[in-house]
Amino acid sequence: MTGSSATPILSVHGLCKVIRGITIVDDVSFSIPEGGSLAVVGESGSGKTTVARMITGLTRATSGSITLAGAERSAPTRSATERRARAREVQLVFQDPYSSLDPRYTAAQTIREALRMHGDEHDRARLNRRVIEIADMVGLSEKQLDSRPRMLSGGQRQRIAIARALAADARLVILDEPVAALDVSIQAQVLNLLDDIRRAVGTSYLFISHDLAVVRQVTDDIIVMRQGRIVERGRTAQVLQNPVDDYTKLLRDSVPQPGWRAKRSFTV
Amino acid sequence: MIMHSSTGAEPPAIQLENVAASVRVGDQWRAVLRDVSFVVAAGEALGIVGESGSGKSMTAKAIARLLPGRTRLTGTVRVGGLDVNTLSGRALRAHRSRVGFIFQDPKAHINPVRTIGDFMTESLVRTAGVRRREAMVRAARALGGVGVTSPERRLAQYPHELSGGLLQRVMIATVLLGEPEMILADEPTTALDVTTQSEVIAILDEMRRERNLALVFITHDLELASTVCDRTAVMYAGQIVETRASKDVHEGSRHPYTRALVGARPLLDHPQERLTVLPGRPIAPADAPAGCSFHTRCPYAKESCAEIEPELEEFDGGTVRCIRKHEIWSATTAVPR
Repeated sequence: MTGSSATPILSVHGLCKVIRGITIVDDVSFSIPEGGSLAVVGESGSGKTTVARMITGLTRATSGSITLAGAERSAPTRSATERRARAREVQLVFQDPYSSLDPRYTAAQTIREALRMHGDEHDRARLNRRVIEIADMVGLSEKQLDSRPRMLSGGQRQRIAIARALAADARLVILDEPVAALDVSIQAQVLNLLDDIRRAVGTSYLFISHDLAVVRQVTDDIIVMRQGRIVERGRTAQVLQNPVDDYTKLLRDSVPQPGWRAKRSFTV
Repeated sequence: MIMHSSTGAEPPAIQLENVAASVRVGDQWRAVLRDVSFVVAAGEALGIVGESGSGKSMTAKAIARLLPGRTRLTGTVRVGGLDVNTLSGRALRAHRSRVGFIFQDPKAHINPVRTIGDFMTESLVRTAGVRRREAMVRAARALGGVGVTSPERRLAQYPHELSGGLLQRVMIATVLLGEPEMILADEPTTALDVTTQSEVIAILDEMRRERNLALVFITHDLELASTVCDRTAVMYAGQIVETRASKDVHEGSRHPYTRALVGARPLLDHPQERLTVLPGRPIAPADAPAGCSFHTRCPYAKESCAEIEPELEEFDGGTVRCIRKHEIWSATTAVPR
């Protein structure tokens, strides 16, 4: 949205990841302005998730630098305190919220836990009020708040994951295919919700997806990755309307829409 | 719906008449399908679109007779003219070989500790009595047919060595080895990359045309169904709420739920300021309210919608299950998006 703010919330430079001699991420640089939303688009093996893991400190970059909220964050976190500090800067929302939510916790407990970990609020009544506020924001009903993940649908579970990110008060949320597993009508609710949150709270997004139409709906800028490299970048609307790179064109042409015909390449 | 009446003609490949099904959960029967009827001719592709729990997979399972054991089914499912639910023994095995089933996640349906070759030839060797060497030759040929290069090498590999797209090709090739008359594909490309999806779809499409197969293509993706299938059926809460020629669904659908699905999906070339959102979430067939099952989420619902159960009726070139269709679509009403 507003690309004018002085320090970007996130900037990465020359990011590389090499595992056993194989380059997974190759010289990736980009930045996200405060309140911005950047799409990372690519297929499996493009390195997009590895980029996210390096930013969150889940894996170490082989080389390159990561600057999060003005601070150098290239090395993985070493202590619980560091991890908590990092968590206040960046939160992750995964495709399958089932495996990223504690099955023993109700939605309310999950949100409360995040609030307790990352805030300085310890008063029980005030914590509970905040839980309800956040639940309201993501559209979880009171009954759903008292449910464990197992009892809830994919969309509701994804709302808990988003609520948890909000509770941690993260300035950047990395969303890794957050709506890929959701029903179309629920997908729309979650996409609108993400849009609302960004407008209301100013949270920035790094939005990883293979779905160009979804990306077009919720991001300002885009990078297209293939085999670890950025092959095209720019404003999302611009790039998707007039792709320059052949691979971006192929991605675009693979999206089923009226008049589309599947293509077969015969080479696997 | 269209019924085959002329006695001399070939029976349609697939015919469902008023199919309802309930599954026993604890001491309750929970509805999973409620009054599903349709016909698919040989060589025709029908897309079944719906959200989770709408009954689309159950419909495919009813056709394949793969519904779970504790299921009560009424109505008739005919495949090649035969009532699927009366089959047993050899006739049931013959039915199973007529119907090829392709699942969403090939990994979950391939034995991880056996080679691709073992997997592909198992039923040929075990049930069709084909010699193993001959079966392997056929498997290699089938893999070549779906665009897999160096098929002999692939046959010796294990599932974990293959990408998702390649595994799905293996699945399709395996199904085709059984020389089915129809293919039921349940979200066959949902787990695949977009460029791979495009190829797998192209293969399915080609195979259907080449072999004159009936295809039932199940997906949550309305656009995808439109491009793959001749006709699209939209399901909600265990019922079909609309059927229409696929090419007309985007602009010409007439059920409020179909319209909502169209509006909820972001479009690559026409981004909206805000996606049209349906309140609430899809309702399970067992929890469907009285009257129209969609009325609790429908922007056009009136009191009568909670009372009268709508029938699937011909309307505007398709079939629509909505008592207010004429009112909503009268000339004076603005066209809802």
